[in-house]
Formats: sequence, structure tokens, C-alpha cells
Amino acid sequence: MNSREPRALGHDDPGLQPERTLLAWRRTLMTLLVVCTLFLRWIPPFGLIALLPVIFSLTAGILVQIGLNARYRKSTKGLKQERIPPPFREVVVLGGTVIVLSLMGIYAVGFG
Amino acid sequence: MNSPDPGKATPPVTAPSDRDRLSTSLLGGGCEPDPRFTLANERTFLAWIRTALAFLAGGIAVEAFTGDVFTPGLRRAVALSLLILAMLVSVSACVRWLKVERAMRLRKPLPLPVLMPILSLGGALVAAGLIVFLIYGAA
Repeated sequence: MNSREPRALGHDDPGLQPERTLLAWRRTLMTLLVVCTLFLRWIPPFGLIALLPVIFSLTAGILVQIGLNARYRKSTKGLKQERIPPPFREVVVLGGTVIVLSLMGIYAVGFG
Repeated sequence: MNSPDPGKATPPVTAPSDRDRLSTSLLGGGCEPDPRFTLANERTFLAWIRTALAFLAGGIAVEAFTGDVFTPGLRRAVALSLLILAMLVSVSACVRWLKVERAMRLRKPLPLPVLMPILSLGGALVAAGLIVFLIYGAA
């Protein structure tokens, strides 16, 4: 977490929900990173095309990571205002990435 | 999930026109939910996505590392099962996140996680198949 976040945008939620949510995103992105490195093991049987899911998931992960600090700020601000906008973009990017990765895997194993 | 503060039990009503176009078309009308519930729904979505990623990692690993353990047909079947489960769980995670967001805004009961029994059954079947293979297939 960026060290200036709590100072810049504090909140009075004793449940620490913004931090827990931010950490949940980080855990998920780290899991995505591990999964995309596993695809590297597919280079010997499938060739360099196996780099495609790696590049795809890394790009999606970086995109989501870039938006995380803004999401944290929105969460802390939203707690004060009693309204948080739903994270459509992040859900679509992350959910879509996992769906596309699964489809790539199914295609490679089933038809590759 | 924390209980909402009783003093904040009635969040402000937000007309659909106050939201952006995407939110209006996907979420419809209703009241803004407690922001803690929005965050809890977000974390639940992420937990499902991590579950999907675990299945995906399992499928990739079975295909990559078990060449000496399983026959090619069984390896492909196990890997495909795990990858299909990963896809189902990730699709379900997105749909469920949206359904819960809608239900919270319309003050309706939260939808049941439909995929839970399928996931349990699928995981149990894959595990049972592997146990059978390990006992009888290796002999």
C-alpha cells in the first residue's frame, strides 16, 4: 500500500474494509501472476504460442494494479459519503481475463 | 461482514438518472446500499476469482507436470475438467457479483450461489476419479 494513502484519505471504519478489500485485490493479482508463470511450462509442448496467455494476463494484471490506488481512494471517500461506485471496470477486466485464460487452456488441451 | 450502523440503516435513495449510463443499464433503480456491503460483495467476487485461478493452476499443472504419472487420455480428461471448472467458476463469479449488487439495491434477498453444488460435485468427481486411478490404474 502506498504510505501516503492513510494520511491523505483516512476513514473511520473500524472494520478496516478499504484495506481488506485492497489486500484482497493484491492477493488475487499475485495469484494471477503465479498462474500466468505456470503457462510458461507449456512452451515445450505447445511452442511460443504459450506466451500469449502470459502476456495477456500480465497486461490485465498491470491494468488492474494501476487502478487499485484510485479504487482505494474511492472506497475511503465512499465510506464517508455512504456511497461507493461499483467496480465495473475492474470486475470485467479481472473476470474476463480468467475466463479468456480458461478458454485458452481448454482450447490448447482439447484441440492443441 | 460488519453489521451496518443502525443510524445509517436508510441510505440515500438514488434515482437511476444520477448514475452513469453503464450503471443505470446494469443495476437498474433502487437505493444505494451500505458501502460496506458493496466492498464485501467485491471481496466475495475476488474470493471466487481466486478459486477459479486455483482450478486454472491445477489444470495447467496437470497438463504440464503429470506426463509420467497419467496416461495421455486421463491427463487430458483431468486437465480439461479443471479448466472447465475454472471457466464456470469465473463466469459465475461475475454474474453473481452483478446479481448481488442488484439485489442489495432493490432490497431483495441475496441470490443463492447456484454453482456451489456443481463445484462441489465436480471437485468430488475429479478427486474420486483420481483415487480410483491411483488404486487400480497403477496396478
